[in-house]
Amino acid sequence: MNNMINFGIDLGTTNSLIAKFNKGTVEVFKHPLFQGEEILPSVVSFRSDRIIVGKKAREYAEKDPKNVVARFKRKMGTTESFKIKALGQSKTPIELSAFVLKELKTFIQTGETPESVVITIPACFDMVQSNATKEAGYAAGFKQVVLLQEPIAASLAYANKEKNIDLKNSQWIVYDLGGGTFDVALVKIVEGELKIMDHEGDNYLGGMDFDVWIVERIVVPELDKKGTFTDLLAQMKSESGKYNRLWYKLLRLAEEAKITLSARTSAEIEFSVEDETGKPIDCFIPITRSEFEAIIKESVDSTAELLKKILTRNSLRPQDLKFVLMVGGSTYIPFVRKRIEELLGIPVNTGIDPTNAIVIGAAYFAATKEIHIGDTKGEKLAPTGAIRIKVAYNRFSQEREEVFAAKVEGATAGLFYRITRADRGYDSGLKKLAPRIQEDLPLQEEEYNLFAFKVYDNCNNLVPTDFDSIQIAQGKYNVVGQMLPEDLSLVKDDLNTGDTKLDLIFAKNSVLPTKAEKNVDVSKAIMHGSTDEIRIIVVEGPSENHFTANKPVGYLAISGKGLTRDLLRGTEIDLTFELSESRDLKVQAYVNPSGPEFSQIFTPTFRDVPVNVLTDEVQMLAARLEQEKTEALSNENYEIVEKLDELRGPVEKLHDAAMLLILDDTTDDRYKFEDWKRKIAQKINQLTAGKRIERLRADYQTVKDEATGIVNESGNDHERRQLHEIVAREHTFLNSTNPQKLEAEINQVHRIVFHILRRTPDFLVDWFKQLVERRETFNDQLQAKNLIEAGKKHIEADDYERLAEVNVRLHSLLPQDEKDTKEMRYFTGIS
Amino acid sequence: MGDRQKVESVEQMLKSMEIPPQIPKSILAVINQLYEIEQKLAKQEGPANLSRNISKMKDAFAELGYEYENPMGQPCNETRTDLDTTISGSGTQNLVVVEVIKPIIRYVVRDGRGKFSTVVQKGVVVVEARKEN
Repeated sequence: MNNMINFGIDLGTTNSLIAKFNKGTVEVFKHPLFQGEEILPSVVSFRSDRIIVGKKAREYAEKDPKNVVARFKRKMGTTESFKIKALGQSKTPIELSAFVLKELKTFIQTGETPESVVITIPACFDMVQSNATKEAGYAAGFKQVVLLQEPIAASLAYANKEKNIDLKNSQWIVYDLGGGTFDVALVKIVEGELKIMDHEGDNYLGGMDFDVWIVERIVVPELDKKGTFTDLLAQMKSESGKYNRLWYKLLRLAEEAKITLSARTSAEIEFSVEDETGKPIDCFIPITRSEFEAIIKESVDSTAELLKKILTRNSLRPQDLKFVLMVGGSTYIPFVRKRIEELLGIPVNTGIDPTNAIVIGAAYFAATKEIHIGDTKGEKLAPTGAIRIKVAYNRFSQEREEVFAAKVEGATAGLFYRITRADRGYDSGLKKLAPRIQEDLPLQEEEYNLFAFKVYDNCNNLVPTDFDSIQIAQGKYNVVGQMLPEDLSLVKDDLNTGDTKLDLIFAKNSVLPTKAEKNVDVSKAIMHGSTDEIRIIVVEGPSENHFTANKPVGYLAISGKGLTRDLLRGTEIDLTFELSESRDLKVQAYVNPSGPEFSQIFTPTFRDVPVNVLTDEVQMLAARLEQEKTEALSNENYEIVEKLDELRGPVEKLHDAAMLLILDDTTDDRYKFEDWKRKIAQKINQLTAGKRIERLRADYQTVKDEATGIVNESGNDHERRQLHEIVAREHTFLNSTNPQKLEAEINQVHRIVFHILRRTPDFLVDWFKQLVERRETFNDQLQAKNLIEAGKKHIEADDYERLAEVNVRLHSLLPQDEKDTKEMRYFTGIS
Repeated sequence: MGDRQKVESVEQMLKSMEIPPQIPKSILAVINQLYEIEQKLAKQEGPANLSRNISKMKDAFAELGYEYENPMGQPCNETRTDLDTTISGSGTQNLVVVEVIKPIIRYVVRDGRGKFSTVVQKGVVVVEARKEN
């Protein structure tokens, strides 16, 4: 059994992180709501009776300092405390740090609740400050807290990453330049142990200052040149200034530009503003890397001075150092690295991720420390007797906000609750649990809003209850008949399969009334005056079905007779679909460019089934039956073949009956036949749909295996990444019931394979041979002959690049029908 | 009113949705550009036929599951985790969005239960206390 601590926490002045060592690697946990973010800003907010820790709290730190506290780590171990207006009491740095530590516990997604942890502290922390950090750990519910100095943690992260490096008898510098603070420390191995020999720092220097300087020194002078402003900078920085908004916007844009400049040599800041005379100014301010470097040079040099101070104090020359290890987000800036290297004359080491190196090192250290829980110093856990929750809320709402109320039975003292929306858009923060609670929950419009309801003890350990989720459908009436019972889809020609496919217009459960737009291409030309037509067919039923299995609800034909000019293949048609509350469907077609407009309203009481469309559909159904049968035969699926055979008789009967219908038939036969047709189609679907998906899943596995081999053997990085991305998302399409999704992905894999094969000699030669076999069909025989001769020479000379060119050119000489192997059938004329 | 009907846990429901584990950054970058073009066109009252192209591109992204939302003018407080905010001016109550630097991008999933979405890019905005008339 693993009895090691394994959990490490970087409790930073500006940001904190948590990580776990597991089987040789370290996982840095991510924020449960903010996708991909590992960092938790060390800021605590006590606004509106809720406690919020992290990024949302930081947003209020500057403007509401009476209720939001940041940078409290610097006060650790002092008697100073922070008055919180909303609470009417003070909080000590230890209590505030405990809030951060507790919040970090919610990052752990492994279901564990660690009782032992390693927490990092700055090199400059004395005994009192160190003990205060331990106390914060206990207050957060940990029973064992082991401390580790940050520069040592960073060094451990490096040593574990570069396992072959020999650090014996050496010393190095850890240079830590973060968002708001700078620390530098001399680390040495003394008798086999890492020790900090000396350190220096500046608590008010970091990347955020660089953003301010970009705005002050580059953007504002540029703006002054372009427009009329009086004391622009002051107007921007003052809370009541006319341009205060612009200040914050520019800081954001400057930060983005700064990040871009780490990867590129230039970036731009683009925005619009009105000057004092009301003249609009569109600003596009390019910033080069050298301009940026010039404005940060002085402060980077000042960090080098602090570093040199350490060297002088310890009678060291730069050459005595093994390297300078770069840590902290601002060391991503190439100039910082370059300048330190220049000023010291020794290489800087960028071997570790500067943002999470400290927490990774802490986790490595934790993996070497045994769990040893003796006398429990932590606060007693809150009583966690059975908590029962009775809730009351509307499950359907038309409002943007809905009240959630609950009666809580059991001992609630010392407990908190927290509600988060599953789309990651809402977090109530921690709120005290009371016998009665109430919360206004904001709702996402037209969606199912799902909230997690969790109860925590005073150490942020999860307390089990009998209620855990709130589900509210916004925009949906809790009355039958207001929601669409089935999907409505548009029938389109599928140019890949020669069949039709359904394009979803309104999904099942859409709230009425609703409106949608689609843009389609004309797939067959319609001559004006002819009887040819484009068919806009709307069907009701699952959008994965073949359309013949769904109910037709709307039909609009654009006939050549109604056109004033020819409708060419590829012409775009804009379609608008409107569905009223009483489910009247209005379809409007607008032919581009500036063509005629067609529209039709369908009501649910009137089902339009034109005879010519019905007969076409029946023919199509008969063809489909045969096709499915052939396929089942080739798969040796005799059970299906037999069942499909049973449908043959009914299809033939329907076919004969439909053919006898006259175009203007006024009886209800057409409706009867349509119903008949649909039932047969549904049966075919039932027999084959599952099989198709199954077959496609198997196909996917085969092409994936084949592609993996080929990509590993001959693929480049880009192709490897492409395949990796498809594999990473395969659970999404393999679980889908939509065959088209699967087909699209299979095609994508085929494309990757083809790209690779196109570079391999065997494939190129094979392809060439196949083309040569079809030499008689080439459009230009003379050119083909020359190309074939050239191809042969290229094969002899092993010049496959040129052989590839020959192949492409030969392929282009094939007649169109040789290139398109599938016979195209147009049913709707749109795709 | 106290409905004891057990619903699926949030984790179970999230798992059942087909949300890609990683959204390619380039897709978000293109959507952000599309949003900017749309804003510029609206501001300059650009040609209507360009708006049609924009709306087609939006439709194409919607088909892929991506939709964006312009939070301009929306109320905002510390519980809104779909917005990355900077507060301008002096007040911190009754905040509304006054500048949108990046829109909120959501990945939308539809199944038999209806529409679900998840925030894949938080909106980057400047907010300000609502001015009392």
